[in-house]
Amino acid sequence: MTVQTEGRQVAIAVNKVSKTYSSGGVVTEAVRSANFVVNEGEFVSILGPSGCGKSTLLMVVAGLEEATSGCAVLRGREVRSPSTDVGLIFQEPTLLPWKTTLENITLPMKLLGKKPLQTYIDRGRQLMDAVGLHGFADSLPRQLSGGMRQRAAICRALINDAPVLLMDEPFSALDAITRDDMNELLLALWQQLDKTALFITHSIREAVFLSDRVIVMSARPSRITADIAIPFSRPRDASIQDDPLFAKMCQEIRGMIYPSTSREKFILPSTLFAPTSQP
Amino acid sequence: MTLVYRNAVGQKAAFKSILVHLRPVALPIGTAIAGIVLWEFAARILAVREVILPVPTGIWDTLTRGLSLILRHAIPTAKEAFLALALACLIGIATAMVLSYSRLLRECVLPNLIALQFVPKVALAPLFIIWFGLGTEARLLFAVFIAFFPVMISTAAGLSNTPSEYIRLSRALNATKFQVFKEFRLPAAIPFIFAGMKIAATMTMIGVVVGEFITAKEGLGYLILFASSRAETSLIFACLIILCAIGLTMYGTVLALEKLVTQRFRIDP
Repeated sequence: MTVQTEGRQVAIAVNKVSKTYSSGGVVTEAVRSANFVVNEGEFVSILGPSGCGKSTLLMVVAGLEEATSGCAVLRGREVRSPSTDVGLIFQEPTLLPWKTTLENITLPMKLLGKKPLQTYIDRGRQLMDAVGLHGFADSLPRQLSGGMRQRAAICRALINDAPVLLMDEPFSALDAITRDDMNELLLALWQQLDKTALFITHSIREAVFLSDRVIVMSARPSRITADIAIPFSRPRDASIQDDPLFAKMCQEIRGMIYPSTSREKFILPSTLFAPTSQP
Repeated sequence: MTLVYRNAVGQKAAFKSILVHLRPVALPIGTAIAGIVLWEFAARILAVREVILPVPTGIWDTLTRGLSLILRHAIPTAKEAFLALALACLIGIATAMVLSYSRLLRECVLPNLIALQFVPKVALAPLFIIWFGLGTEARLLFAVFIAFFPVMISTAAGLSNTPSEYIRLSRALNATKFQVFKEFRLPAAIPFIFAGMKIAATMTMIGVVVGEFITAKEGLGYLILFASSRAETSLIFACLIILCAIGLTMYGTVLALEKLVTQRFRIDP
């Protein structure tokens, strides 16, 4: 069941996925009827306020969460469990502290029993060199900085050469400067690879900078409110952020997330700190 | 001039750093020595009878004069204690692994094992004599019985408390059940396992001595009872010193093993 749209194959199809959690009689609706496709070779971001269920949606696509209704289809097959077609990057690097950086990066191949492992050790080293981790193969995760750990997590997601990358706010735990670095790193890597990416973020700039399309989700119960094509051609580089169009795109999307009618004003009453007469 | 000044500062700093490093060793040892000195003088000044409380120098005298007798009894005690600790750790870890592997088994067995702990275990010692006789086996098995439980509970807790993000990663990477155990759960449980083993080291000593109280014809527990029947209080204290030494050696062995394993598996202590 391969679906064609605009001449390109669909890599990920999310078909009316809803997800509700219930605990202690309280039912929380995390995602309501999400419906979209990601074509092969496309970089799509899902953008929304924190707690809007966008991570849940990604976990459904990754096969780590089950949809309450609807389904996710990955490269023509309905997702029921995690697939080896997917490289996954979490918000936290999730490196095992008892393994060296290189051992962490080659772990997926070890678990899959891929032989000879040496091939992947060599590949892991080359990936490390490419992301700027040269010389840290035998370092332990605790000896690396936050940004370096997430670089290692990117290498781990790439080691299997999986055609689909799923990223769950991978840089949101990093400081702003490191985050900019990581965005440029991911953009550069991405443009050299032929992969499909679904990227979760709550940063508008990040989404516009990296993506071919940005899907906007509303706060709970989250629904998809917009699907915007980003007009910058590839290959791009950091300079597109200086383009007036970049600012315009960001502004437009900000308007979709926070409609001006619903903006709160945050006004303190003028009498709040006024001197009170003593009784 | 400046050079001399700098050297003086350097020496002072080096001296300070030595003090800082010695602190965790020097303070407890100093306190213990002060306590023993206080004991010696207080017992002499208050003229406490030797049967009630012998002075430290008297105990040392008994220890050195009766060393061959004490050591003869210390050897079976030490052997039993070490063997019991090793068995308790092996059985405790193995049981916990089996229980963590099978949910059904865990749900059937674990609550009962915990309920069993509410029986005061020392009270079961006579049963071990009925079952295993008056020999080494009864004492050994009783000590194992007392000590294996903390190891099992800690190991089981460690194996089931793997951080959830590691488990999520293992699922995302399609790890098999055995791989999840070997690569994720077991390394994460190692600090827990050693915490249990440290408790077990003290529990085995209790088990062996209680066993010797009620069964033995040899061992430090027996010697203590013997000394007590003849009102040789200083011999009791001399035996206690050797018991402490055996207990410390066992604890030290566990610590050394922990260091070895955490270094081998690069686990943050």
